Amino acid sequence: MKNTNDLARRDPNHLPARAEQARATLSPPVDVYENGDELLLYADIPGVTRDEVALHFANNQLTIEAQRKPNDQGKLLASEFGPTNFVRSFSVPPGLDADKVTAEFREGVLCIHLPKSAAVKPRQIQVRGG
Amino acid sequence: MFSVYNDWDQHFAELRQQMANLLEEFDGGWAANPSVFGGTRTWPRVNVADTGEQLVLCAEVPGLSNKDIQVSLEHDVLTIAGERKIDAPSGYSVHRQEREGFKFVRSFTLPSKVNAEKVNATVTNGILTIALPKTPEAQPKRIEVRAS
Repeated sequence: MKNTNDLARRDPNHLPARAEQARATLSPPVDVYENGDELLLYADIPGVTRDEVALHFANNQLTIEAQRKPNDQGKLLASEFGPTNFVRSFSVPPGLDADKVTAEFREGVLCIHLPKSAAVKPRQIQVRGG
Repeated sequence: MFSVYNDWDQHFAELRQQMANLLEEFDGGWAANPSVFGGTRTWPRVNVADTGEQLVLCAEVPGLSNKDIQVSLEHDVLTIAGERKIDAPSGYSVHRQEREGFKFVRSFTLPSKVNAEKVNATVTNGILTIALPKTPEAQPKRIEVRAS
């Protein structure tokens, strides 16, 4: 009852895990801070340039993506890191102002500012005397 | 009878795949985020390459500038040291803190003699790159084969 597809499936070299070994996919470590005005995110993405970092924000979903290219300079004597896809997604709470999201990339650290919209910002309410 | 063996083969192939996926996930997760697994890792991670004329060491040091890193060379031992501090920005509350602070020292015995005067170290986009030009004696030499 077995057909040729099963044979292909049994061959360890056809397993998807082998095919994708060359480029690792990692979740970068992230810090999340908040104050009255904004959410602030820091992510470690060493070895990419500013142009290689992509940031998507839609439907309260924030996605960070970056691709680190292989460094093929000479013969490697020791290798503890290599070409990497950095991917990380977050569900962010509603009430953020998507148009005012800003990000900067410095020293391999991505910093994202997510300002809160006026409706959810803490407000000082004045107490008036009668 | 044969179909029973075929099934076993397939089960093992599936098991093998699951194990491979699991290990890959573990490697990825651990490398990015060792504290979740209760471990520590060597920091920073380093690549060393030999281009022929020079040795090139690259280290992942996100968040560090040239002022935070000390590089020294003593005979054939290269040492990098420094500290990364992670402080919450003032006035912010902390939701999540996965990026870790480190105090690090790593030493490497170089496989060939280098010209200490011409060592060049830079930090760009969170990668420390140290270029160590080899002494003329240590550089690869091309030996011509002559016809007799």
